[in-house]
Amino acid sequence: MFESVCFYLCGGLMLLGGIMTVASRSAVASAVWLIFAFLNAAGVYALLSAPFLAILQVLVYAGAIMVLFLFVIMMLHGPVMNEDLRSRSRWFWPALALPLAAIAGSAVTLLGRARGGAFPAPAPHGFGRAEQVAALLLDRYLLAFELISIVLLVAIIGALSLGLREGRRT
Amino acid sequence: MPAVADASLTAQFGALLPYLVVAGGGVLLLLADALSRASRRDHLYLLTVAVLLGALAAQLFGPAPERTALLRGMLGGEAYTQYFNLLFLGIALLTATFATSVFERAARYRTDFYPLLVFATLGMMILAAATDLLTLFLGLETMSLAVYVLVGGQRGSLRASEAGLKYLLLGAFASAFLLFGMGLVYGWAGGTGYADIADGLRGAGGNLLLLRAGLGLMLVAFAFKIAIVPFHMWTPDVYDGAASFVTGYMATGVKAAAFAALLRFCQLALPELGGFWWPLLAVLAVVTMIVANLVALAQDGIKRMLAWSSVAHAGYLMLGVLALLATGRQGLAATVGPASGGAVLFYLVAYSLMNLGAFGVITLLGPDRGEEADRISGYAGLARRQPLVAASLAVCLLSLAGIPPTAGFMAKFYVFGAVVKAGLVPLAIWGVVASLISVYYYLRVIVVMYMQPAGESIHDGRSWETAFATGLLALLILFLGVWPGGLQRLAEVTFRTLAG
Repeated sequence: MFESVCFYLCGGLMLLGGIMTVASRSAVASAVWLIFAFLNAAGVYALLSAPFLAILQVLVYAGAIMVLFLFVIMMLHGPVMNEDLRSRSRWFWPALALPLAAIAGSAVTLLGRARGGAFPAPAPHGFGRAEQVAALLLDRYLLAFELISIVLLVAIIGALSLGLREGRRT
Repeated sequence: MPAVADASLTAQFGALLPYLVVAGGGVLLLLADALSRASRRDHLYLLTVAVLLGALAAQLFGPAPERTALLRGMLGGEAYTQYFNLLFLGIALLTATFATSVFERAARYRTDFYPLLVFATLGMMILAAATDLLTLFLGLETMSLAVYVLVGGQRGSLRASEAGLKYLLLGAFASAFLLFGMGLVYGWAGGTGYADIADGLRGAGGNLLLLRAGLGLMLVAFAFKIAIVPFHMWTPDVYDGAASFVTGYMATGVKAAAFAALLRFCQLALPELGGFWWPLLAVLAVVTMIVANLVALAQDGIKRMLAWSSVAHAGYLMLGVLALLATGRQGLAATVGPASGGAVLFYLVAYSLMNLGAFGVITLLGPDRGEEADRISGYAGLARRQPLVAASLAVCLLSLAGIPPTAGFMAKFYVFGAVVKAGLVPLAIWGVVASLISVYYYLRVIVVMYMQPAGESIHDGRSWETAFATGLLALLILFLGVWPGGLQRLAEVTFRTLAG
């Protein structure tokens, strides 16, 4: 019972964090809300008996990546916002309602399933530990693991290549 | 777990060698680019050609393709994979050749073109070979990220930057759709392999809602990448803004890769659920063909016209996919199925040849000097100034219009034939009507080239590599139009390896 309460609390707060990330009008606030969402995602992972993923989520996403985000925002001289972004577009409420409706729809579907007794079995013993994650990464998902490095490499070249253009011109 | 057992380690290494060569070659090119002077880049072109030829050789002379899973069922190693890998490597070779002729004249392009081209090609190869949702996504991202940068990669060109940004933003949106859909499909099937989805479909009837929602979202992403109406709005701007050789690469490589992945996904993951995508795709295909051809009529710029034409061709190709899905639904899969799949494979090769030829000529004549050079009227009198180049472009355009004796005619013939055999006669009629409309705008260019006197000459490009390559493409198009049987049989046999 306690676990379920924690689970739904974390899930709900994660959603709130996600919505506020999009809805905030200052970039710094968005980034902080995103950290909040990531921390709650870590809570969800922990409750789903994946402690290793939860730790990684905090260390890598909430820690390293978001700090980098904040640095970039600071380098861009704080909240750079033009007037278009300051005022909410008329699509704001529809854009907010659509994902909420989708979430509600999936929740209803899943709850309907749960009533039929088709809830997934609990995780086996030892699930989600570092050894298991390592075994998956280096065996079953080896190709995906290696491919991600190429995706990131391409992304870095692309970012450098497009970003350097401005520097060279001056 | 994969339905097909993993091959032995040595066999896997042989089958993976083309990917390793391309990936390693991309890294090597990056290093060579970083270590060389900015003024010299001929050797980068030669190195790119060496890498691509090496991968071609590894693919051709490697171990015979078998129906085995590679790396725990993440990639398929059948002849289907080989067929598309050869196509992608060929497209990349021609694109690099077109590009180098422009680089000689204009310093507006960055040297990271070659590594990005190689990485994009790797993404296409992975995408076409993927037998798992994870590899599908990663292949798509590798390809897309590289192509976004290729599109926006013209130094100081506002149009190119705009095109790159548009493509990046909309493409990221499409990727999000794909991921969300994959998440739902994974939640339903309990595994990311195509075989897991097929197993799940065979096992359970019951509640398909989750799967259908997921598939619907995935379809959006596929439709975006192959550019069918109503997910095509980016196409004219991006095709127009990018450098001509990049546009040719996108129109052929990206589209062929997305179609290869779509066909494989339909065939391996959804053998019995063709019925779900079917009505939706039928409407999209007809709307695509009609809208794109009508809009193309009104275009003045040749790249914009070809952009709309590529949207229309996605519609024709979609007819072939529909025929395949329909045969699966009617239990004709064993007899008519391979013919429909083979027709799509043939079409993709023919389409790549003629589009590469057309964009090669455009690259040769006017390397993106803004809108004026791009106008169709600028091609007036080309036949007198450069008769061979004009003839190559004419063959490519006739083939795009589907006029015999060209590869484009045979491609349409096979696809529409497969559609009729699958019992979808109305769709075939829509297809024929659409291609009749298209004849007008393709022929208009030929009329301008051959029958109008030359105005002030804005086109003066000379590059023997590109001229030679486009001439070769035109000859290939004619060859395939007269003797299509060999490739058609190969395509059908190739598709059969997918069905097992």
